[in-house]
Amino acid sequence: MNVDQVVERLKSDPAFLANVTTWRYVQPRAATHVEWPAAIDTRLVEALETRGISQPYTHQATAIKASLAGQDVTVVTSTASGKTLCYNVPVLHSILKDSASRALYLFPTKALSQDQYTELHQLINQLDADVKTYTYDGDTPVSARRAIRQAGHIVVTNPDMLHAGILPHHTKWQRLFENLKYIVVDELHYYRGVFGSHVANVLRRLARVCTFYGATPQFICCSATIANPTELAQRLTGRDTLLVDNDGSARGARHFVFYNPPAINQQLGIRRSATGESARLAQMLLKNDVQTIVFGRSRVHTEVLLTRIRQGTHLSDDAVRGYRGGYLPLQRREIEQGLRQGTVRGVVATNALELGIDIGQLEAAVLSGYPGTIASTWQQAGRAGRRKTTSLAVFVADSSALDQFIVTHPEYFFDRQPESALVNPDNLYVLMSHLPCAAFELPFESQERYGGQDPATTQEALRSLGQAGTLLEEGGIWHWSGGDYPAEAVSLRTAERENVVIIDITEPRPRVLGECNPFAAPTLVHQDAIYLHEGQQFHIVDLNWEQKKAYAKAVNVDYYTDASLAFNVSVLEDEAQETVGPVDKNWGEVRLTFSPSIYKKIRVGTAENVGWGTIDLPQQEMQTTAYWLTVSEELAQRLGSAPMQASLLGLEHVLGNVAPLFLMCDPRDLVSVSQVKSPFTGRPTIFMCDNYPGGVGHAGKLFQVHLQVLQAARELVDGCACESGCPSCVGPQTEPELHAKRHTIALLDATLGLVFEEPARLATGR
Amino acid sequence: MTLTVPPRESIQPFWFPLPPLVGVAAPLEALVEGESVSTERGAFFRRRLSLDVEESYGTCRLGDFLRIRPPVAAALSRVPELCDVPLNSVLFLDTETTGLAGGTGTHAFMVGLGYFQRVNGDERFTLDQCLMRTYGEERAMLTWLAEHMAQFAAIVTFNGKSFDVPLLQTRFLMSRMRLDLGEWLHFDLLHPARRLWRLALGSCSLQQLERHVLQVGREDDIESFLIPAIYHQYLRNGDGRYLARVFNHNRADILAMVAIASRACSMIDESPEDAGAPTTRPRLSAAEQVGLARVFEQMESLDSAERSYLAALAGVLTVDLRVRALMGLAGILKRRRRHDEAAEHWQAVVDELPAHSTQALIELSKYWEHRRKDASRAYDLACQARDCWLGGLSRAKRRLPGLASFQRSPSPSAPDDFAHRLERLDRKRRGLPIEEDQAPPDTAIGSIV
Repeated sequence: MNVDQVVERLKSDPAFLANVTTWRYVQPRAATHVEWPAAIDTRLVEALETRGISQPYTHQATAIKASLAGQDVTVVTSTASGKTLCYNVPVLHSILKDSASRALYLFPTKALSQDQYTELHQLINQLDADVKTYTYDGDTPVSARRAIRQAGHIVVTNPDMLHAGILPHHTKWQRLFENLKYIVVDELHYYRGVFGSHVANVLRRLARVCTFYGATPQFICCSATIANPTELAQRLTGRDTLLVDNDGSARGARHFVFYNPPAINQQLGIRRSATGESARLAQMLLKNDVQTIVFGRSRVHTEVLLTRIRQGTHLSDDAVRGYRGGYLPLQRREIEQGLRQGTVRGVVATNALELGIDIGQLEAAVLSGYPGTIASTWQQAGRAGRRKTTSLAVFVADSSALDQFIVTHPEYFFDRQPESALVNPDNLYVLMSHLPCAAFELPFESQERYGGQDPATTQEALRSLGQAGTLLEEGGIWHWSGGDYPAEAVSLRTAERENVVIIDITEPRPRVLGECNPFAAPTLVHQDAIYLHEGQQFHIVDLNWEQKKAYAKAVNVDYYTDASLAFNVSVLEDEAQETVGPVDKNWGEVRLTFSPSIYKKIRVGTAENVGWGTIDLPQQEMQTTAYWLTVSEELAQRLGSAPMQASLLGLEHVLGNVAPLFLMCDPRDLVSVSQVKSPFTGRPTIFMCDNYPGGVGHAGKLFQVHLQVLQAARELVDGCACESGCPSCVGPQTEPELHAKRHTIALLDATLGLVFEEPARLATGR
Repeated sequence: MTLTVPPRESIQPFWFPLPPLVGVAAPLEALVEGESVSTERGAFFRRRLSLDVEESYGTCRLGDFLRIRPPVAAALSRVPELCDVPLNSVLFLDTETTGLAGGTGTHAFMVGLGYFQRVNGDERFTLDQCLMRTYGEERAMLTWLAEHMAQFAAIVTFNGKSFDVPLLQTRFLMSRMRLDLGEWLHFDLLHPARRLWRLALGSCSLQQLERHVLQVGREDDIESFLIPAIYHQYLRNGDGRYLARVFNHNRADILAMVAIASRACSMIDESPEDAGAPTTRPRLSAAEQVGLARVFEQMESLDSAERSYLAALAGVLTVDLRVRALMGLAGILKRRRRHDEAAEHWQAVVDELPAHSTQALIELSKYWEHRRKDASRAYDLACQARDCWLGGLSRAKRRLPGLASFQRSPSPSAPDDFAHRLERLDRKRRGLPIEEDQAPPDTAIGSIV
């Protein structure tokens, strides 16, 4: 059966339809081709033709033309619409025209660099021209680096390597910088939040170095669908860009189905498990020979899904694979290739596959659980979608409140824009990390413009670094004067440290199974955890925390383990405090601790709890900055205990959603914690912590915009169409009788000094 | 989310205030006898010292360097072109820097140049120590350096290939000046020094070398790692007291380079002592002899290598070095087709140091197979070699559970090699035919040499 037949069958299956809350159909679209822009080197056109590309799509032609005309472009088109061609053509054209010409490609991960390198290499082979392309990252052998610096026409790297390996040694890259024509930034949407703010500063530094060598390269950016691609590109590159979104690629018909598993106990609101329903759906698709991708929300989830799917299919384990972070690079390459060639029929993945790794286009996608944001939901669904044939995407909701809200309010999803990607290159903490690096690369001249920043601000920051002793001013020029190597002390990404290596000791000869990051380790590979890898269960015999090694033995048991983290905040230093009406606002330094506490053993299939154990591991901690809000004793008493608790949780949730709008950061850059009776303040308190060691200044900013944030929070809650609270305002509510929404509004009114005179009115409602 | 990066650390300077000195602060110019040198791009500070070539540094005289025969320097440095360079036209170069990690933000704030020069008919050793007293003086200093350095044909450094030269090239480029130091003939002492002395000393820093090879103990020296901090502090408070000591440190480093170069060259100079080279050959330790023998081997001077190995074996050596010396010597004897003598040395390894005898047993097995035509004995020896290797493996495993650490010799393909060899020898001792291509490659080499 092909996808169309499967769709027809599902459409006529009343049992299936009974659980469908919405079924959206997108018409197929034919490709719109145009001629190659006349300027392009004929050798390049011929090579593309041999590779089966006789004419470009409209968006490709637009992007190429604009690039050749000297404009910066940002391409935002659907998955698999041939975005790479938009930059490979102008870049190769410029090199064919002038063999001295150079280009720099930036990808957010090493795996992507590798992927693109391979593709580019094939095109170059076809060209039969002397164009040298190299990846330059942490894995590049030292012996090869010299040749790359001297002779590489196209250097493929990542922002981290640019930051710590290339820019601080720019004189060794003289040839590249003097002749740099194009800078390609792919997966632009990835550069948001703190990471994006860092990358924006790395690009500002890159621009300074280019200026030194007299080069003015053009940017070509590509992004997945987000609300604000032009703004993001502009903030990252510091330059105006032309948006190219006249997608001319062909698209087959697409079905997007929201599926809510049937209730098995109406009263208790228990539904059939999303995992089981997703697995069943995937098995049906695989049985009909529909190549399918299944997305799970976490690593453990994907492994459970993989096991379930494999159990009920005729396919061999080689044809149904798992794919997530923690698999070794070679294994991932092999799976990607299997998917492209069609030998792998089904794959169960985490969002590791959201990024543009090339796995070809699949016929069906099953999203087991809501991925969390509109943008990533569209990206996961977009993994299914071929140019000519029909594709199917099914979102299977789980029983969590958020999923239930989405599946029962599909318009909330379909009618809204995907989220904006926000960055703030002038974030003081990020800036203060990069200015020393920039001064190390080239001394700052007086009145120099750093990115789009006001020179007065830059000078002020430089003066403050001068006082700290890392820079020295001499005749109006600021020199790096702080010792060794400032880039080393600055990590662009939060939380990437030494991974825990998982070692399989089932056989006498140990082998490395995979790895996991140190933050996931306490919940994933603690002692006695059942760790799943490619569907095989492993019992973690020992976790050696000092050596960052976990030892695992293959087992076959009927349960898996699930551990949870407990967050805690303790205040280290109170930087500022102010009383605003019935609440106090503060900001200062805090210690945020995460401790794994216990784990549960859960039976595969029935999901019943069959035991538990404790996790004996040191808690992890992070010193950061936080803003906190404390409710006065009097107000807490007036509200009453239960409403206080409900409104505190409600406010924590709404603040977590609203605050990023004011901070121009990603929601994940904040961790909010509420305490009904905080050990530090002794009163109900909400902490909003910078999710970044040392903080990036969100807390201080929140302290300043306190009232505006609360005002926006009130508007959001008050304006929400729901009755008693939902995920889009005060958070998922399981007990409507708590009136969380109403109480949250009351708390907000009180803090904003609006009305709060008659506590009696609260009891009866507004 | 990693564990505690203290929030403000990243913007603090790495350096700490240096311990205060007794007495009062003084400007550098009052402490160091030097002059301000003017160029078209401003001025910088320079101290010029002129030393008698009879002056000695440790056990060497400076003038010893001039008695080195250029072919010896060429052989040791592996820069053949040095054969044609008169040694009084080489430049000794050592920089002091504002940081130790390199990169575009690291300055060479002091550049020391040492060279031989005739002054009024006398051979002298001149030392020019250039200092930028501010960042602004860098261009002046580089301008003078570019002009002055152009007079020399070759440079001698210690680790200059990976440190001083790239750093200076970066400085020239940052100041938009061109001086392609990469094109120069470059005698980097680090690599020959390592070949000669690493076995004896372990670490091969210049300070380590001068202490053990030249018997110099520096007085009142400053630790190299403090030098960047000294300069940063000088820029801020103008007190020249610490910086004055950097001049002496730089002077000592350059003189040590001259002495180490002389010493290393004299060690490998095989010319008769009277050929105008009255260099007193110092007594070498047994460990130095092993290093020397290996250098001779690389230079294909087999007579000298043999002599050094024999000298080494006559002295006291660690187990590791003794195995190296015996195996090295046997290897040379084998190449010279003195198979019976070679076998005696392999046998010595087996008798004296059985735990380290895998390679020796393999060699003995080959010897009995090909020279003595005794396949049975060769087979027994190959069995012993395999057992010895396995024994080494299990010892290694006991030390490091879970990790297979191999003995130095046989390659990681050893299990296959052993199986292959044993099978062939087994067929041979039982008189069965052996395929042609299974003849061991080393017999071919043995017959050529």
